[in-house]
Amino acid sequence: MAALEIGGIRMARGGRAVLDGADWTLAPGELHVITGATGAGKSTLLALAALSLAPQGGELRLFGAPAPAPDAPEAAALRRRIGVAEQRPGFLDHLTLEENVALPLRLAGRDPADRSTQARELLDWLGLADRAGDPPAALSEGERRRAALARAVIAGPELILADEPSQAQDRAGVARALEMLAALAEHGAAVALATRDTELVRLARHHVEARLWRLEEGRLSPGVAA
Amino acid sequence: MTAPAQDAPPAKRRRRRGADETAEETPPKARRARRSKAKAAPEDSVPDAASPAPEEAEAPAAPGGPGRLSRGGAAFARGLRRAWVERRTPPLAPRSGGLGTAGLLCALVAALALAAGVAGERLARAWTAEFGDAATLVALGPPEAAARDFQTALEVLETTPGVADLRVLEAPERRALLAPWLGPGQAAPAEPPPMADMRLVDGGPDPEMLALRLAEEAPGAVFDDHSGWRGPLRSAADDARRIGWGAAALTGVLGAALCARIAAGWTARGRPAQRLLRRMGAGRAQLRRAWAGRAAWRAFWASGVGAGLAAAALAAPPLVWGSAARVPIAPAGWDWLALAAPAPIFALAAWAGARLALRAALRGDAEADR
Repeated sequence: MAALEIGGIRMARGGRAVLDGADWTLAPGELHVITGATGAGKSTLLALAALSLAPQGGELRLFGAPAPAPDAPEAAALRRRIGVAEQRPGFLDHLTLEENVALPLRLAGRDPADRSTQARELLDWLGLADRAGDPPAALSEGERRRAALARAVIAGPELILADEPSQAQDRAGVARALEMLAALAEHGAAVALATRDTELVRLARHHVEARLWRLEEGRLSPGVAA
Repeated sequence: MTAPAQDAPPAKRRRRRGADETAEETPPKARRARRSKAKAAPEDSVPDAASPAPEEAEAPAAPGGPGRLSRGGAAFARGLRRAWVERRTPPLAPRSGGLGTAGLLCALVAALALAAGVAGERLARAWTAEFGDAATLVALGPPEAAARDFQTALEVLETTPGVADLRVLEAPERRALLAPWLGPGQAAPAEPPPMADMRLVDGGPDPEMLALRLAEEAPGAVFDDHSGWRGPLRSAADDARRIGWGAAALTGVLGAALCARIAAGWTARGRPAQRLLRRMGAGRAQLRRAWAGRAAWRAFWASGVGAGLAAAALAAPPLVWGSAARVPIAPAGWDWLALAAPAPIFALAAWAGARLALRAALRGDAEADR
């Protein structure tokens, strides 16, 4: 059963067709990297998969079933099975970084001690251990993105979507983030990255088992966008 | 990969080492995911297709289904356990933006106004009970004629409907009654005119019929149901009651409206946080608990403190300076409990304000999603 199936999906934004009959299937254990120019529709595609937007046409299936509308009550339970690292990650400013990263665990009803341990472990792995008690506003852009990635994966989602995860990261940070996502894919998660970062594409092509896609003129096809 | 060998990603090291991989080499999340799947209780586990999300799991059992009560009890126990476990974690919603201060001040004023209302009611009841249903009979004229007329009038009144507890006053009582009318230093006569008092029931006797009968049978007897001053007294008592309750209602309504408005504004300002939580899978019930629940809780405690301060302000003077310093509007006995009324009312208002604002925000988001 595929984690995500998109068939002939259409989406227009600002009067312009961003997705125009795109087809895509992402199965558990796979790592897909979607490339495309700015405005090609990568973020829109991930937002559809994350149930943040409703498609204007075509079919969207999640975990083998038709995806509900974003405002449907059953969408909340599905979203908990999806981890999303957004391009401009938001945080709750009155909580510490550790508490922000642990939010998916909190929403899932996990014990505070358990989620604190887990968040610290993950932050340590991503090199953010010394910022665990800081407010999100005190973080640099790169640190915020790493924290968003940690938050996206902490609850063990079956589908992970990361939008431009390498932005504002140094090469080591990009490599570490990609390694983590590849490891999660190896453990059965379906992982999709959207990027226009050539360094990330290079790493994905040569160092991990990733399938590369290019999004052009609203459609997905194998390969890397120019 | 660019990272040094010892920092190599767990996945790559595993590929290099093959079967020698240990659990410690995998990223934290992957290890945790495996661990939690093994150990987590159903309600604590990360939701999947087979395990409902927290708010779905807490949904009430189907009506009439088996074990409905026990399921309800289990859900309640689960809620209590979660509240206990979460008591030290910061709330999902940020600080409530002045709701606490507003609730405290409004409750302080409302509790004082409520005390005035209770005092007005108490005063009005006391006046009405003391004078409202009393009447007197007095016989005037020469002593023999007065005694005769008085006795005849008593017989008339004993057979008149609407009169109860007829009682002839003794000489000392009559002198005491006359004293205020004679002025200071003036002695009442040794034998004042005969008098009786009584209680009027069922609206009292027909005044015109009684006057005609007394004029015919006991012309020196005067029946006074105090209607001349009872009306203004009742009117004053009603005014005191209306002013007290009016002030209490006005402050209560204004306080509740203010709490609801502040809670609604605070919830509306939290829209980015609500969107973020929704994207992470927060259900509507969780958002309601986080915003409307917190607004209600905060308003409840702040109003409770405000009412407590009002109670302290009313109770302290007699405790410090003696009973002579008693505040006129201070409640008595169980009436003190009335001062706590603003707390649940303001909490309910704050909850309703936050709930409506949250509903509008969620509806707006849903329209934006389309």
